[in-house]
Amino acid sequence: MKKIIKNLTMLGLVLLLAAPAQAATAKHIFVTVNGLVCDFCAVSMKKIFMKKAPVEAVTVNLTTKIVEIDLKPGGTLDDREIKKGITDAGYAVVGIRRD
Amino acid sequence: MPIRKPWSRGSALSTAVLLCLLSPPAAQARLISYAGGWMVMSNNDQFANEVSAVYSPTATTGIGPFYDYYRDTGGQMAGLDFNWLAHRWNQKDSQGNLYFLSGLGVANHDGEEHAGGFAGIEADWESRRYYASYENRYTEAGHDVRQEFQETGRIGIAPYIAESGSLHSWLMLQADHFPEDRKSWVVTPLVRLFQGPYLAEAGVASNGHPMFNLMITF
Ligand SMILES: [Cu+2]
Repeated sequence: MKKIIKNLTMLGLVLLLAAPAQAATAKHIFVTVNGLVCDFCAVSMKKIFMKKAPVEAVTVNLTTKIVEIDLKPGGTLDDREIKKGITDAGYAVVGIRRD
Repeated sequence: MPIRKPWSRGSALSTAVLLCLLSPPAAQARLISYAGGWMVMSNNDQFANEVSAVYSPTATTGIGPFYDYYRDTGGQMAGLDFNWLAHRWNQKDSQGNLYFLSGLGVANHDGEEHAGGFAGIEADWESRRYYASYENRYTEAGHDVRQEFQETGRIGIAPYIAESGSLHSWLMLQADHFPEDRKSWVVTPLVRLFQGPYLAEAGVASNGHPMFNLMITF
């Protein structure tokens, strides 16, 4: 019993440490955006995020309304900064997913 | 005695002063870019030739220089545009906008200079398939340059849905209405081609006059 508790605690600790680390080192960020209808929208997204140092590439899919932000190795970009970038471009963030 | 239109010279002008806003003379959506972005455009139809640039300090404001040449009077006006995005509706598959447009400048006819300006409202809605817009504008630059109220409506359809980076095409129908002096309608079928930061439009009006517009964002 003691061993199980010990193992579970260890597992919990590993997961706790791993989760934020995973978020911080995620190389691809997928942002679902409302209001993306044309190429000017796509250009705006690229201009806004390509200016940021940790960003390597930005791809806009007008069909899925997903803006994919690829980060440079070791680069990070928090949700607040992503939301601000998209709001500054005049659009609305629906969701952010990382992997 | 003629009945005064609701958008008479006086009420239009006081609205202009109240809003402290003015606009470019050819119908265009996207009057404001992303924060920090620039747009350069040229609009040409039977009434006017215009070149202008707009810088957007924020996603809801735009400011920049314009130059207009009015073909019928031979008058010109140069000044500054101020555009304000009052509201944007960002939906999953569409976008709607409500803008207030304005411009203030110096009008010139045969070397004679005086103050001039314009004010108006633009509303547009588009999905990847359909487009609709309405714009009105009152220009007050003296009768020797331009003094007119104009309304412009547009509908459009994209024959195919293009992904970002590829060529977007639109078939559009523009109607211009001049309720005051000209008391006329002009209908212009046009084609809009759009790829990345470049947009071009060309059409021929119902009275045979060509129309040509260009826009670049960076
Ligand atoms: Cu757009």
